[in-house]
Amino acid sequence: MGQNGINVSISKKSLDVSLACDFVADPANGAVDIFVGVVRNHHDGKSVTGITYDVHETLAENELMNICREAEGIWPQARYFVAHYHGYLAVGGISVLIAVSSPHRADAFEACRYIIEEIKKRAPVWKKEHYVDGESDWLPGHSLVSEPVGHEVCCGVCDTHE
Amino acid sequence: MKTVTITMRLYGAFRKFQDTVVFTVPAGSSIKEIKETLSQALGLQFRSLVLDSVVANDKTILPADFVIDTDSCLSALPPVCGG
Repeated sequence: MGQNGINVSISKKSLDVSLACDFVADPANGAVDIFVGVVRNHHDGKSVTGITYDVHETLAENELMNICREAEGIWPQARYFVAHYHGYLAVGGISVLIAVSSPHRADAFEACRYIIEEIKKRAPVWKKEHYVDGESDWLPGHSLVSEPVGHEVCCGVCDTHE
Repeated sequence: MKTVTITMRLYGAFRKFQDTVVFTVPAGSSIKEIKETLSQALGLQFRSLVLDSVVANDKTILPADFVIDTDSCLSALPPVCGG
């Protein structure tokens, strides 16, 4: 899913840092900031072997785009690439990849930080951790919020809100 | 009384139950009422998770007072932890 200066995706293929860098490259932008989220080998004192990422792909792509549009409103000269993995990853696998380019470094750093923090609160993604003892567990998270009362809501089956 | 069939796709910790649950509710039920029926369908162990969750169609998260009049495919979204 993309529009000028923004590319977001949910992928079941390995996330590629070079693709992100290529997308945000712009002669007018002298800074590229990249955030790479990877699976670590421990959590809460348990040894982790991997994580399964469950994703509502349609809503997640929409939300990633919403987050980038918000960032674009704050840092309009930046270019944005955001990808999130869907499926199982062993330790070291890349789960989320964010690249932001901007004319100067401060905006790129801030926009990148803004995007990952919003993803953690808003993207419909869930983690199931797998442990060395063979057990696994779904992790707790942030409750999503519905649109406020009175907000126009799409029925979900028509094309009028495309 | 007219009823509608809800096909609820389950995500995250709800998958301990199964991937989808199908149930009927009276036509005109609100999302709040549908969550209550979902809770009954999944059992007591999922009640607090249902209360902490939202319901969405394929476009957006639906408010608690949104009314469902026709057979629908919806999604139950528990608290998220992406990244």
